[in-house]
Amino acid sequence: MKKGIIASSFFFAMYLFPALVSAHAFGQQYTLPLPFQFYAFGASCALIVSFVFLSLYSTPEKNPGSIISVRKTYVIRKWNAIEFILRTIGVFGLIATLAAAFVGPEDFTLNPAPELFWVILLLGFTYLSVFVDGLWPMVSPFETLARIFLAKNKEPLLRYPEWLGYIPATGIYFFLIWFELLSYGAGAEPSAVGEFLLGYALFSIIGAGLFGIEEWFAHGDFFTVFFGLIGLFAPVKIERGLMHLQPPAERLVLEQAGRMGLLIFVLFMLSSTAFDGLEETQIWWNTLYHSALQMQIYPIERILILLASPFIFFGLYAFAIWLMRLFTRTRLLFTTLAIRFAFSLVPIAIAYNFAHYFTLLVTGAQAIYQMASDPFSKGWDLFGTVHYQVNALLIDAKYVWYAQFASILLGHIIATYVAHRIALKVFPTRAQIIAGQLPMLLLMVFYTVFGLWILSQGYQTGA
Amino acid sequence: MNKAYITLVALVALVGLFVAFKYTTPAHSASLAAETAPQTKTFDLAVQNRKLVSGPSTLQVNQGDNVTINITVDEDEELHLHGYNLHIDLQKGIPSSLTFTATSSGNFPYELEHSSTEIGALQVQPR
Repeated sequence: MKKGIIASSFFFAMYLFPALVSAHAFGQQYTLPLPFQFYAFGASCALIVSFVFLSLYSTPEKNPGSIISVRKTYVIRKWNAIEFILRTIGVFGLIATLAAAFVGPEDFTLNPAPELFWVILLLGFTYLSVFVDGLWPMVSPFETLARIFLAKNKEPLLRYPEWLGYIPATGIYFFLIWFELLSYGAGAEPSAVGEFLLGYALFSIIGAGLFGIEEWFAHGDFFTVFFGLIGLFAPVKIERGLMHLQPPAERLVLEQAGRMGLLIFVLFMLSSTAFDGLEETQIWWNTLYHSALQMQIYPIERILILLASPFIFFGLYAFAIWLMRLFTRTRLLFTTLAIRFAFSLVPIAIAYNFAHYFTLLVTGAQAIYQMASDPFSKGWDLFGTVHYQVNALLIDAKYVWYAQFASILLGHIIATYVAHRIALKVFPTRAQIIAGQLPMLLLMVFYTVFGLWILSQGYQTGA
Repeated sequence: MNKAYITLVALVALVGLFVAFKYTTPAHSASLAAETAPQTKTFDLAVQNRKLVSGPSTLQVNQGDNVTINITVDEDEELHLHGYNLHIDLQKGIPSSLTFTATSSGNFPYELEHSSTEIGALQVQPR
């Protein structure tokens, strides 16, 4: 049975309530809660490292460079051919995913479409963007299709309205998290993934047709905004046939968010991952799913919590910025400071994402390796891998802990470094830098400890 | 204060904390199987109306342990342990058991396969 994607699965699920569908068949993870000593040690490290940064490197510099200052630009030869290949890969990837989604079986263990979308695209490309930025505008099949369909449209019909900002991209981001976590399994249905991709391609072409390709994809396209933010960390940036090398995280310091909407987007990167982690914990269930009344309102409540989550994170951030203004007695406006420091949160967002999801990439890549041989369940064995058994136990729980712990802590250290470099640019005196950095560092210590705390919580078992 | 001094104090504090957490945290013994020899662990579970009515929902074992799960259900079903991918058929009212060695560490939910009911999880602590 093929279910519709948005409305029908939502109401279908509401109707079935409270018979919650058994959790997490798709994207099942086998990680154990982080032991207390990791959490406690990580929390202390975060504090100590922050204060070392604060006390050691607080002298304003005329032209503060980064720790490593390499800046090189290379011309990529035969760029047109490479761009053509990248665009072909993107479009072919979309067509292959759609073919599997609509022709293959309605079962994510046999059909590679859900894994291709959630794991290869959304996780794989995120981790690639940590190292290389600027590939997505070429690989994006949505942009390539828009360019093909709109080749004759010279002028956009409308000017991209200022007030619209990042609302379309953020809206799609909310939708995707809902689709992944709250749609009662619709996100794991191959046909639903296919419908989303098809709908999204259409949405992109219409958006680009109305407002112009460049404008639309820069603000309206979730993928471009998301990978672009992650890519600000990358040491390599590819742009119009040039390859720029710079120290990692350098562009998080130099570039600015421009508007509050992008700050909310960054905060949602943090809060949606935190939401996903929290929702599996015993403490969450004990608090929100205890009485009969709570069970009644839970489906609505979790959607509201998800919607509110970036604003809760924003509240804390705003408080830190407010304290920063208070302590430094700066004349800079609240919004100016809030926007200026926004990108310092990106390393924490990357760390949260990696700590929560990297094991999915390990199992997902194996699953695709196996399913690619027979994507339509026709008894094929295209690559001779059809009998491959996915080894979900590939990584020992101990190494998962080390990786989670290291990524959260490293994310914190890099974020602290970025915030500190920004402070050097914003504030003229040593006293202001120290006073202004203190609330920011405490905020980051909080996000870091919170991230570790979520990972250390016991899971809710047996729904 | 000079920079070398601060760096030194910070390093000493970090190493000190590391040692303290590694060797004195009581949770250490609980969360890492450490040097204990593999044991045999048996769990008796009973399920009624697709709900666990007897036995723990989280089965705590250490890596290398021999695990036996005895389970009695009130309808014909199939037990599936994720990750290890073990299946056994369950017959109404007749106790069934699943025995295996917990070779891999992690958190592995188990469910009643036909009705897709998750009833608990096996947690294997690493060594």
